[in-house]
Order: sequence, then C-alpha cells, then structure tokens
Amino acid sequence: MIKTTQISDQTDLFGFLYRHPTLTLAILLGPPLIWLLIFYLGPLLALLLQSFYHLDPFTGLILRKLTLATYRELLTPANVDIFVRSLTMALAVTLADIVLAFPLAYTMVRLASPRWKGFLYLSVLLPLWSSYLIRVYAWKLILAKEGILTYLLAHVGLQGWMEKILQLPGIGGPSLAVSNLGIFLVFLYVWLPYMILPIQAALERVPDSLIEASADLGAQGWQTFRYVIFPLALPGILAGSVFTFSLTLGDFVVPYSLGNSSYFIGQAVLAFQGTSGNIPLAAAFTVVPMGIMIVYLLVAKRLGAFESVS
Amino acid sequence: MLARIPTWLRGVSYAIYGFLYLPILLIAIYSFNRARFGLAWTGFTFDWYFSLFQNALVWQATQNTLVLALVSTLVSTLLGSLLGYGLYRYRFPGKKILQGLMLLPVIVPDIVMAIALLLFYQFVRFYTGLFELGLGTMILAHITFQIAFVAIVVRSRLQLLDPALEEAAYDLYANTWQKLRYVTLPLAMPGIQAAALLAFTLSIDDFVISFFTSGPESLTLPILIYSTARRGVTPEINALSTLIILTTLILVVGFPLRSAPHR
Repeated sequence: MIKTTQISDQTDLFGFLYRHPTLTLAILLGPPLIWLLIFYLGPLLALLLQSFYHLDPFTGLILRKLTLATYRELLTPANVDIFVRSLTMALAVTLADIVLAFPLAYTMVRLASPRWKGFLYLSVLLPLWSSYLIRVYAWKLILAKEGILTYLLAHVGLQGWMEKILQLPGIGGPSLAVSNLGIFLVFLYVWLPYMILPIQAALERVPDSLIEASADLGAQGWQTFRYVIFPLALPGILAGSVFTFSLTLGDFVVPYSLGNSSYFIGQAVLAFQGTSGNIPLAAAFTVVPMGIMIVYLLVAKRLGAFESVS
Repeated sequence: MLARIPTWLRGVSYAIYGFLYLPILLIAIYSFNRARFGLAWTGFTFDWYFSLFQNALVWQATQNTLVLALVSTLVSTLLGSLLGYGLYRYRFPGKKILQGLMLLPVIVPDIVMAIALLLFYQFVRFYTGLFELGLGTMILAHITFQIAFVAIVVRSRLQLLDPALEEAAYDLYANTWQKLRYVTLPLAMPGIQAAALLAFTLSIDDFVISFFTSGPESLTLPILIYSTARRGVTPEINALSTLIILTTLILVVGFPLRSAPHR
C-alpha cells in the first residue's frame, strides 16, 4: 500500500512539485515576475537614466553623460511654478472630492434595502466604466463660452455673478472653459467615483451597534459623526485621496482640452517630450510626481489607508 | 433601530448622483441634435450615427481597440492570476517588496509609465531594431499595467476563501493537479473573471499610455476621440461616445449577473 503511493508519487509530476514547493513557486511567479522585470522595472530605469542626461541648449543634442544639470533646470522658477500649480490643484480637487463623496457614501451605506443599495453602488461604478475622455469632453459642451452653463445662467439672470467669479485672479479667465476653476470642476467630476468607493468600503465596516452605542451614551448627531464615524472612515478617505491626488497630478488631458497657457505637470511632460524634444527634462519632470506619490503612499499606508480596501 | 438618514442628506446625495450623470446624458442628447454647430436644438436626427458607420477610420479604430483589449486581457489575466495565486498561497523572502511594487502601477500617474515605456522602447530599438511603435508595443504596454490590477483582484478574492477547502482536497487524496483543477480554479474563477473584465475595460478606456506607445497605423478609439475633440465639439463624436458608453454599460451590467449568480 505504502509502496504503491510512493511509486505513483515519483512518476507523477504534480507529486514531485508538491514535494518541492520552491520549484512550484518559481513556476507560478516566474513568468509574471520576468514580465514585470523587463517591461516595468526596465522602463522605470530607462526613465531614471534619461533624467540624468542633459540636452545641450546650443546643439540641441542629448549628452549621454550622467549629470545633475537637468535637475537644476527643473528648479528654475517657471518649472517650480508648474509643480506648485499642479500640487495646489491636486490638493483642492482631493479635498472637494472628499466633501462631495462623503454624504453620498454615507447614504449608500445606511440605506436599508439591499436592492436599492446595489443599484446605487452600480450607479457610482458605471461612470467609471464609461470612457474617461468622453466624460472630460462632455464638460466642453457645458463650460464653453457659448456652452450650456452660460446659456442656463443667462436664463436665470446670474451671468453677472459668473463674470465676477471669472475676474478673480488665479481662478478665473476669459471663460469657464479656459479658467482654473473650469479645470478644477472637471477634475472634481472625473475622479469623484474613485473617492466614493473607498469611503463606502470603509463605512460599510462600521457596525451599526457602534453608532447606537454612541447615541446611547448621549452623543448628538454631529458628535457621533466627529468622534465615531469620521475616524473610522479615515482609512477609506486616505485611500481615495491617493487616487484623486495621483490622477490629478499626472493628467494632461483635462488641462489640455480645457485649460489656458499655464501648464500642469502632465502638459509640461508632453511638451518637453514632444515639441521641444527635451527628453531628459521630460523624464526629470515625471520623477517628481512619482516621488511625491511614493511618499504619499507610504504615509497613507502607515495611517492604515489600505486595510479597508484590499 | 438606527435613525433614518435625514432628508437633507438624501437630497444632497441624489444631487451628487445628478452631477455624476448629467454630462453623460448631455452627450447622448446632443448626439441626436440636427444642428452641426452650436447648442440650439434644431430637431431630432439619426444622421450622425449613419455618417459614423460610413467612416472607415472609425471602423479601423474600433478594430484596433478590440484587438488590443482582447490580446492584452488574455495574456495579463493569465500572468496576473499566477501572480495573485502565488502571493495568496506562499510566503517567500521579498514578498513585501513585491507587493509594494505591485501597487506602483495603480498609484503612479499614467504619464510616468507612458514616458518610461516610450523611452524603454526607444532604447531597445536603438540597439536591436525591435519594438517599432505600433499595435504590438501597445499590447505589451497594456499587459504591463493590467498585470498588477489582475493580481490584486485575484488575490483579494482568494483571501475570502476558506483555506481548509484546499487542505480538505489533499485529505481526500487529490494530487496537486486535481486540487487545482477541481477545487482552487473553480473557487477562484469569479475573481479571475472579475479581474479579466477590469483589465478589458481598463484597456478599452486607456488613452495616455496608448497615446505615447502608438504608431502612425495603430489608431484606437480613445486616440481618435482625443484628436477629433481637440479641434472642436462634433456631433459625430457625441454619437460615437454614446455608442461606447452603451456598449460598456451592456458589458458591465450583463457580465457580473451571469458569472456570479449566488453570493
């Protein structure tokens, strides 16, 4: 009896693998890891290497010699402006998305009927699955100078208000479509589902009994929110903010299709890579958001951002 | 029981839902507007859909988009599932680092990956002549960003399973192959399907990485929309967008219902 199993085990490839878990692991992980090594780490290294090259301003040729000159160029006031503008926008969009996402996520979680809940959940997911370009582009219809919003505001007699807002420095512009306010609105819109879903996942884990207990102990509605619900939702908020922040930081489609001549990081990368052919500078430009996001992720992880989602 | 949601909160929530859907509805409505320019409603028409169907460029782009999405989803689902299963089942040195690295494509802005791949292709082409930009390089790029998403979804679904099930299979004298074939794979299947669907929609929707890794011949729908819309709002693009949204809607709503009837 014992002998036969031994024989069949020896002839059986899977029996052999069972006794050699390291080999099994290598077979499982080998192909995906080799792929990621070549097509993921390879490109990132190529990017890093390029950022240490430098474009000679006189000959227009790229000097393939390691130097920090490109990073020095990165710190010129014009470029620092781009970083500040992008970071401010990413921060503003993230905060506004939290404000909009929270009530929605809360309503979704606290609604009694599971059917209705499922429907609302799917309704948040669906815009995410419809093309992002199309959703950006829809806003051109709304925000353009002769767009829907202008039309509507004129009908209710509020166009004076909009003109006042558009005259504000730093926010306004000739029309909503080419103002920073317009860019902000579109970012707010396209990334909103990325904020709703993690907050919803976090709130889903708050047991009803905790909220009841808070009420039993005499907490007012806002106290329960401030001391019970909000702290427990914080990991979800952080996870969502990783997405909204990163997506805003690197995007070039929104400012490109709506914006004015002041660049955001994504646009700068596109311009340096394409029109001006300064690939080292484009590479150095991308290293910054990558660095920011890695730090952001580490901080968020330490604060427990991904415990509720993954 | 719990206090009900206050009416104002309910109102605010539905207003935010409106905000999510209004722009998409506008596109659909304007795809039926007779006027070529401007926003005034001049009558209902299907003309823009007809002219879309006669546009050879649109057909070419649709074909490229589908080939790209199908091939990349197939490969990335295979590789990503292996990775997801390995991460779920085994402990090994460097696992933490690998998990951290896998999060990178999810959180690092697309443009970083796009430029990195472009430089990498240039670099290899310089020495070997391989990787001429086109559908091939786009497929490689898509697989690369899809793998991480697939692995994360598959692993998190596997973690919901009872580990005793796999042990029970061994107790009942299943060999490794039988265990994989009759226990692990069927249990992992809903996760793998969900991951494949995610990979597919990510590929169809991807613009930034496609834009940088594409060649002159490999136009996809997002690239077509981008380059057309930059010149101005056209009713054909509204019609095309409406069709794309409808297609994804059918795909997404139709799939999960069939693949996961219970739970």
